[in-house]
Amino acid sequence: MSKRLFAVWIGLLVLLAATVGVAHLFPGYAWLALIGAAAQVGLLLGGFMRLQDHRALVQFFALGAGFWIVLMFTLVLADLMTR
Amino acid sequence: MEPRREYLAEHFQTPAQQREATYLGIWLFLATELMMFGGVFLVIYYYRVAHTQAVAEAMGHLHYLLAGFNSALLLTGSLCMTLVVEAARRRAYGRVKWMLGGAALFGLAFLAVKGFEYAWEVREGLLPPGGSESPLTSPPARLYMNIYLFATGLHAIHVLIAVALAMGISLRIHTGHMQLPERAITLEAVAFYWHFIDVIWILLYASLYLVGRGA
Repeated sequence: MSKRLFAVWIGLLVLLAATVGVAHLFPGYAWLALIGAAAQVGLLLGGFMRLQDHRALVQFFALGAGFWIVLMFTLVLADLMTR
Repeated sequence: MEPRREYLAEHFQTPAQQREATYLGIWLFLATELMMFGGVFLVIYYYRVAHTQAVAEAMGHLHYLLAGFNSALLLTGSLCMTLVVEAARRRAYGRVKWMLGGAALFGLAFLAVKGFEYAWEVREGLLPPGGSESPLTSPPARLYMNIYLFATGLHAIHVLIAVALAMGISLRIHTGHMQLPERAITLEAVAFYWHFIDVIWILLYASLYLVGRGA
């Protein structure tokens, strides 16, 4: 059990190092940091918070806010970028 | 009569029902927090699209390696919190207290590094009020630093609350006011809060310090 938790922690640190490394060495590709951050969030939700082990209703609550934020971003940035 | 090993509030019929309600409650609370930070992220990205060059100018002055080190501190604090929950389930109470102390220590270290970073930025004239010695020439670049200060400051307040929770629970366990494993679910809720703060920092770090460096 602890081994799995340590493996998740190492994975998070490796992703962090990779994200910083890309931003440092290839500033033109720093947008890849967002993909690295998304991977870290996914690993944290699955590895530490064990979201996949919860019931569907709990998962719905957990992911619900994310859906509304995506909607908010889409509407606002679509307006800004299509002017 | 055998004492009940699992704490059960009177309005619940089974421990499983209580656990489910606790998970729903904590996720609902975290969802409200996420909505609040969602507004902050929207401002960051709206501003990035509207003032790409000014944001790149301001970002060039941010200490992203120091902030990366801070990310590692916070992630290690998160590991400590998961180990707290695991130890509570295994009834290793000594380890629970040690790991809670460890999590609090990593949280405090994060705040100390963040404070050092703020002091550095104030000396450089990057943070408000800035003044004439500020290396940032354009008003939009200075405004980006205001957004940075608000976003990271709001997050730091959350870290402070998480540290206070970890220390408070450790004290309650030590004084016998919180019984384990009966109240292990409380530890899980606090651990969720800690992980959520990590999630916010991971996204803030990428959004404020890294994305757009090469613009």
